[in-house]
Amino acid sequence: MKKMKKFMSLLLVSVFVLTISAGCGKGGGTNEDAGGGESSGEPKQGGTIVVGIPQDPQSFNPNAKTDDVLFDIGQNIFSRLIKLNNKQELVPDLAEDYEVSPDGLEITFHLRKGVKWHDGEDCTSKDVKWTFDQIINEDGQIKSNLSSVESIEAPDDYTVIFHLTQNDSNLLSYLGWYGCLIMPAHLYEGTDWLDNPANKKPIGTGPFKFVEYKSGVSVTLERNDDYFGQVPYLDKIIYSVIPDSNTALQAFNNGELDILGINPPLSEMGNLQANENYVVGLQQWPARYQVAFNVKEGKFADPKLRQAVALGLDKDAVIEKALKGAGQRCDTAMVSLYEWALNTEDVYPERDVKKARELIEEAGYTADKDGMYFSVELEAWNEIPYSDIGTVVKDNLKEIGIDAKLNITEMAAWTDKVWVNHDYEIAVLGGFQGPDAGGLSLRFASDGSMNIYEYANEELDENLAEGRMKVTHEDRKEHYIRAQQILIEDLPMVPLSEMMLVTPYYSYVKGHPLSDEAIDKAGYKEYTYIWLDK
Amino acid sequence: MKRFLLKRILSGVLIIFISLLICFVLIHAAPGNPVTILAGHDNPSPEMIESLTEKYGLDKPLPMQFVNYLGTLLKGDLGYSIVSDKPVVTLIAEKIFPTLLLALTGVILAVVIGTMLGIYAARKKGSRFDVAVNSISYVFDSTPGFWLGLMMILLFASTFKLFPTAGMVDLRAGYTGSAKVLDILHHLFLPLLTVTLIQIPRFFRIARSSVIQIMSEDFITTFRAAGMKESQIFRDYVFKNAILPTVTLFGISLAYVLGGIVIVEIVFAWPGMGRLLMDAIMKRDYPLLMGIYLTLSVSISVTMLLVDIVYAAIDPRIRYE
Repeated sequence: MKKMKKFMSLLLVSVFVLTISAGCGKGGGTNEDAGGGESSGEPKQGGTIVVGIPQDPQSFNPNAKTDDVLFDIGQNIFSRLIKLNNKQELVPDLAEDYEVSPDGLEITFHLRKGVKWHDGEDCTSKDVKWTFDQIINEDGQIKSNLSSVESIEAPDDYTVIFHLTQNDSNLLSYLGWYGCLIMPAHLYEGTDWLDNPANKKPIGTGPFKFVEYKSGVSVTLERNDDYFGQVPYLDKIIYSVIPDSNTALQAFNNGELDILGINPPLSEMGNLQANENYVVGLQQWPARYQVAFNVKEGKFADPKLRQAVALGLDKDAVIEKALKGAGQRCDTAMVSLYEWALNTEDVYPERDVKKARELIEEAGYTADKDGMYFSVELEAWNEIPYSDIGTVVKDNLKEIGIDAKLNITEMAAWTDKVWVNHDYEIAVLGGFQGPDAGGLSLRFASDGSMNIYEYANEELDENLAEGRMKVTHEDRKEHYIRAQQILIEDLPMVPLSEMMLVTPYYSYVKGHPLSDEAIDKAGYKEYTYIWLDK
Repeated sequence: MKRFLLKRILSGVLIIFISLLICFVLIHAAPGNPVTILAGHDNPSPEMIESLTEKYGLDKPLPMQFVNYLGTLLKGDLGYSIVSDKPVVTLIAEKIFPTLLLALTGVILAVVIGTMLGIYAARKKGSRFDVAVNSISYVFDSTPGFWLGLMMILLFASTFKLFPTAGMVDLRAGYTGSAKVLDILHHLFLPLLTVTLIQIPRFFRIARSSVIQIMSEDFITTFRAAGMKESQIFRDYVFKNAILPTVTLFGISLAYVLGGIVIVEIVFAWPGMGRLLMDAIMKRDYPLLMGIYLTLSVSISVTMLLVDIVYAAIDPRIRYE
């Protein structure tokens, strides 16, 4: 029956070819640093860069477990089918192009020919199929992203077909994001992928080859001369493990690092930007700092109080005082990067302390002699900038008569309390909202994996599901526009600022993924196009 | 002596067991769970969380987890890290050398320098030297290690460019052989200076006060009255008595060498046990944490035993029967 269905759809479907660049929205909104991109001549071959990383990578298996450090390094060792560039657009990687059938139930990827693994073996559709089967069967870190995938077929060495149970417009962006780097089937097949020798000495198809890892010290990569894309200029990349961000900054200032690699202490933003030897790459990340409510239990189950908080928050103060300017005000319900689906009409209200106090009174509270209506615990974890944002938000809340006590805890404790058990009333956090407009589902759908608000709205769920099932941007748009309108009405959270990633590097480093010359083609922290002008 | 040793070893084993139990209960009582922390805050996968929770046996009742842990431990297996899937033994073994290099050298330097300064100051009690070193010792004693470390970096690495900022080797140069040894020493200097400076004050003060105390005892006055040379009195009678508290303190400091300089290791990006411990705590990597605590409690028990034996050797009043 299933086969019949597939056959029918194959027959009926006239293939609808999407060239990869046309398949995605205009990026926009990405801030490139002025002067970061101009190169002063022809790229020079050779050289080594040293990049800071805050911790050791946990392992070199890029798909089994979540690991932010390996995410950065893995970009240079492995390839994906398609990848998100630094404008959050999809560009080709192992797949030269792909086609989506009009009903959206089949995605066919055409792989490049002649791609070699770092150990010399050919990379074929077998590796791709194995990688995704493995993620699905062994509960890899992005298994939930692949929920619409029914099966993966490799009809010949250079074709991979994803068969879906329903159209899933979020899927392509997920494939370009993380946790699905193509791994070598010839080394992993038939073994436990958590305990495979290749987890210590990874073999990829990326622009750089793994050389060595010294625990607590460094990870070294060298140029892959057989890379299928543009062969890198650099001889080597060395990642240096520096856990303390102040130390990392000094190491950068003293020339021990070429790219800081670690988020700098925000208080140093001014100094970094003033130094003409440095370029401070500012990249809008599809994530935002936000104030989250528990909409089911506690005081903020009352929408009036949530509206009051939305009116009381001073976003500019958060950006200026807590983020030291490394932010961007956000009034829309979705990250502004996905312009094609952005609702700019229904936005969060302007600050109005008087109106906020009126709303709290309408909700049935009376002020005590200090002008406070009630007190509440504001949860934040003990890392910059969250603790600083918490402090600004606490002061904002005091102004509208909410006596907020800032409860700053260690990340593990915060995760347990707020993230897993939703045992809170109001909290400060950050977090990813992408990798596409469809990312709204993860946070706000009633079954979303990151819906810590205990929020459920049927109409929103329907619109998010429709948006995911339809194929073209035009068809999807109306549903996301409506979804954002609902979010503004219901206010499960109030965003404070878009998240800006701050990446200082020396100005002699050309072709950085955030520079004009590489921003369109390089993946996040992919150093293929870097060359040293010195 | 044999019976004493046997008794001490048995009690040592018991102490290690009890401390393991306490650690186990405490780290599991702390809020947080390694798998949800691992999954992170950007798109965590419920399927991965469930499957890893099951794989590492975190869904079983706590007493059962403890029994399972002891079971593998008795086979000589410290288990696997939840975060990295590497054997705990390997993770710890990789970090022991850098930590010993920094912490052990630091304690030894601190005990030698601190004790010498203390004795000198005590013999010149009330002199300008005594007053000066005494007040400086309070300054360093109350200085937090991470701050002192950062100041060292700002002063000697950033301003004077005499020493590297962080790490254990020059990654760009990639030295080998004897150049590598020199390179490591070059990197070792600032963290070692920091570790030594924070530890000198205790050794200084304990040496100073015990020398002063012994010097004021009646038997010393008697020796002096009998006309014995000041240097002989010091060498044969004061020093031997005054050094005992230093030995105790040195023993205690040695015992904590493996885990005691976390902050300095982090500031200088020194790849040691302290950093491993800190990471394991932050990520609630239970098997790794238990492995580190086990290593620490074994090393503490062993050094305490050694200290007791050394006591018997240098203090004739102490005999174990």
